[in-house]
Amino acid sequence: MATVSARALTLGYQHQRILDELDVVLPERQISVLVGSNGCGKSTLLKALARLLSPWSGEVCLNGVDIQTRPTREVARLLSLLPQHPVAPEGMTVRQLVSLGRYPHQSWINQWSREDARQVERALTRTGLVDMAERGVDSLSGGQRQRAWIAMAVAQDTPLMLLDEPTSFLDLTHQMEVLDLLRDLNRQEGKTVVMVLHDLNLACRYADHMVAVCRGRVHIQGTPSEVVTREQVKEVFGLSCRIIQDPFFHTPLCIPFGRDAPP
Amino acid sequence: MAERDLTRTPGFSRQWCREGSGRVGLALLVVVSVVLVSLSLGKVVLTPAALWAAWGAPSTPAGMIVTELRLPRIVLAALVGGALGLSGWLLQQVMRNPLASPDIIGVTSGASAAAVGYMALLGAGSGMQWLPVAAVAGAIATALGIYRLAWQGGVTPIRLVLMGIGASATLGALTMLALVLSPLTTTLSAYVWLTGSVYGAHWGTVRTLAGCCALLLMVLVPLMRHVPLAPLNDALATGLGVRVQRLRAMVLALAATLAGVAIAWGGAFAFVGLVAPHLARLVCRRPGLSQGVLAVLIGSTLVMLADLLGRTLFLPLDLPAGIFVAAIGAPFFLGLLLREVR
Amino acid sequence: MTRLVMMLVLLLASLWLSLMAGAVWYGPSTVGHALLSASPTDVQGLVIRTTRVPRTLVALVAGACLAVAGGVMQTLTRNPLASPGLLGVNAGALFVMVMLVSLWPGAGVSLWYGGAFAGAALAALLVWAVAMRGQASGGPLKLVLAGAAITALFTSFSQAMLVIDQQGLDTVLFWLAGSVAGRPLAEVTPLMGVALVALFACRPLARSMNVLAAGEAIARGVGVGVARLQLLMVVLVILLAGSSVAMAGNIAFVGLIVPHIARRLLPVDHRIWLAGCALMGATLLLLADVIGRTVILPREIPIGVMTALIGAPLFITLVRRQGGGHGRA
Repeated sequence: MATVSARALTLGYQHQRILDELDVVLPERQISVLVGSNGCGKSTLLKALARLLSPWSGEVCLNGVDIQTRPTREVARLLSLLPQHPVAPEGMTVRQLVSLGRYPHQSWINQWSREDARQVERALTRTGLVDMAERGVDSLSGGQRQRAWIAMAVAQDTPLMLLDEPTSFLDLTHQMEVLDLLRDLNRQEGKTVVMVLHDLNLACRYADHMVAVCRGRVHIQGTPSEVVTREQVKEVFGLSCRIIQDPFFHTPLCIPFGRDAPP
Repeated sequence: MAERDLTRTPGFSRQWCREGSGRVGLALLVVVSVVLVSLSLGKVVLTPAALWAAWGAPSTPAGMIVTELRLPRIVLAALVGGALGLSGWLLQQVMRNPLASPDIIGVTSGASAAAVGYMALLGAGSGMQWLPVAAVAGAIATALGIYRLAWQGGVTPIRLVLMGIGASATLGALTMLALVLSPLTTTLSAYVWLTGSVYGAHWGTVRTLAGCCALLLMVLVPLMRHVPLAPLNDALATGLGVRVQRLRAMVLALAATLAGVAIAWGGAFAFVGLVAPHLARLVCRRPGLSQGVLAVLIGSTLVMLADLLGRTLFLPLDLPAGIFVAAIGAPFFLGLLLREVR
Repeated sequence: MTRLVMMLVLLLASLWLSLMAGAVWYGPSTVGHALLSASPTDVQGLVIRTTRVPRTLVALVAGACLAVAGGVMQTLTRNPLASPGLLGVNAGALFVMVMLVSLWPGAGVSLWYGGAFAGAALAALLVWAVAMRGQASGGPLKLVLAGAAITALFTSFSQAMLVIDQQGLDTVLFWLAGSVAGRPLAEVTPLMGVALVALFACRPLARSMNVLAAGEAIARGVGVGVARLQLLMVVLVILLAGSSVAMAGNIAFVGLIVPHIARRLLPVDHRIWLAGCALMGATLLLLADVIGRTVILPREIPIGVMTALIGAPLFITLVRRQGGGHGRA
């Protein structure tokens, strides 16, 4: 099992501070979604949680140990990451791509163990890509490609998955497809999923735990119905809206007003 | 599962791409046949039977031609081409760019500037045995310099390439200065060197270069497992547990040194490092180790063929192989360029 | 506008300096005298009129050409690193010229010059094809790398010609290294004519270029004939780069650096910016030539080497300053 948390985390780029003494604990075996307006630091937070950025002060802990002090390969066996805009080498097949996920489990002498083969097959099956396994990644559609990247993370076989906007540039159907897949992974295999999402309503639908980031700090966290209220949305996004209950799924549903006067 | 073969014993496992292995075998056949053709062609043309006889009797005139004149030259060409091909392939992997190569990154111009400067200072003739050392030093120093210039809390491929272009231009200017200021005879031999030539190779040179290449390969083999992950984004590779900056620095150093030694003993062959990996990619589309091996074999073939043309096409002239590398490589390259940049 | 005037003043000053400087320095009055009253017995005047005036004029026009060509290419490809040197146009012109000199030494200068334009056209079309295809995905780096590869290709061809034809080495080395010295005025006058026509032809296109700089789609939207404009720009680049290479050989980095500096100093209106490019390019080349011919007397540093030695470090600083490379490759 793996838990990830940040304590008094401060970091930024060059001289600009993005995260300011941020504290957060992400619950195990749940889907946590980071939300916030553009530039609030949610993607930066995800990168810091994935050890891509080293903090100015404070620390990110993986199972209680500072992530920066652990060997990166050891971390890669506990935590997988899907960044925004992943790029696959030209000509690579889906199977090859998914096989890359086994890298942290391999050594120079053992580069294709039975376990490697089994995990890759499992990842392909889970993501419904078995039929496309020999196709080039470049020939896939956007939704299929995103599934292939998720399959790579699945093959990495980590208890913790971090995803930075896994639904960006996908149409609604494929957004739902990807999010359903992630929820299945969470419900059936007990994976802890942490992701950044832009769409507040989809976030409410799929999140067990929501973290609203605002001006480099955690503004509020909790269940979607605790986080997504009229007042919080006003404060976090600077947006006036009305929150109603989704008639089918009973999660909060945000109706933004924009410049239109509230009826 | 048709496209892969497995080797699995307790404690050791590998997966082989069948397409890749097949193509590598084919390329090996091509290399062997080019070697045989090169051995038999030249001022004295040997039939296969005569070649066989000459091989058995190295003290006869024909035997001398084959074992002391042609073979070392062919082997040198193969080593130089292979090293440049590998260097280019490695660079294209870590730079994530199919157009990166030792010439464009500035490694070649570093070696050239050092070598031409050395010639200009000493004058052609004396102390030429140390020329390769100067060239290798120049290549490595340039690579280090470019890396240092591109470092801003980490190195990105884009900055490395741009710094390489800048450094390349500066070093090219210095080379030109040395050429213009030195006497005409030095200029001429420097130009032959700059074009790249394996003329007058002997076993001593071949042994030294082979030794260097073997040493570098020993460093490379344990690294090979990580190289296929280099073309991914930094974030992805880090997520998989690769130490990206370290890998990039090590592969870059290795590629620069490989190109440096190849250039040092063979001259500044342009284009091999660029074209060979491209052709390898054309022969085997699937990325992986077999592409690297193919880049080596194709680089070897390219330089061997170029040398064969150079010493047979305009008899009795013996032209530098570099001319023909450009001539063979250019049409391929232009076609690829238009295809590549989609 | 005041900056433009200052640039003009600077140009005139370096022009005068270029006439004065050399192995022997002449005072301003000597130069003035030599220019105004041409007496055949006056040795100093003769030196000034037959060697310094031609090389000064060549540097002036070639510098302006290269800088403006760079500016036009940067707008055309929407790539801040585009320039005739970096993208291989100069190398193409050089190669065809070197080839003609080696293979057909008796042909005479006019054919060689024609070769320079043909080579520039060849390379420019190649770059253009790449740029057009690259716009969708490639990003700025691909074009630059493609250009570097094209340059490497033509340069290795030129070197090969040199090795084959060793008699031509001296003539060819002159072009390969880049030089403004020793060109009889009569020989370069037609080239200068072409160059000046091309330079002034930029003026009527400047307003359309302003729109094109904002993007092809936008330009098309406001009714600019984009394809025709681009074609005209390519032709201009070929004429400018070709004539400068034919006059002065391989001169690197002027076309890259000058437009950048001009962009910092001047508003990004092509009418003013390109004029500034021309003035500063000419000034830079004049000064580089003055330095090149005075620092290691009695030898000269070829002007192409000088500009690379000045320009490449500037280029490196430029790239470092921009801190580029956080984005995607």
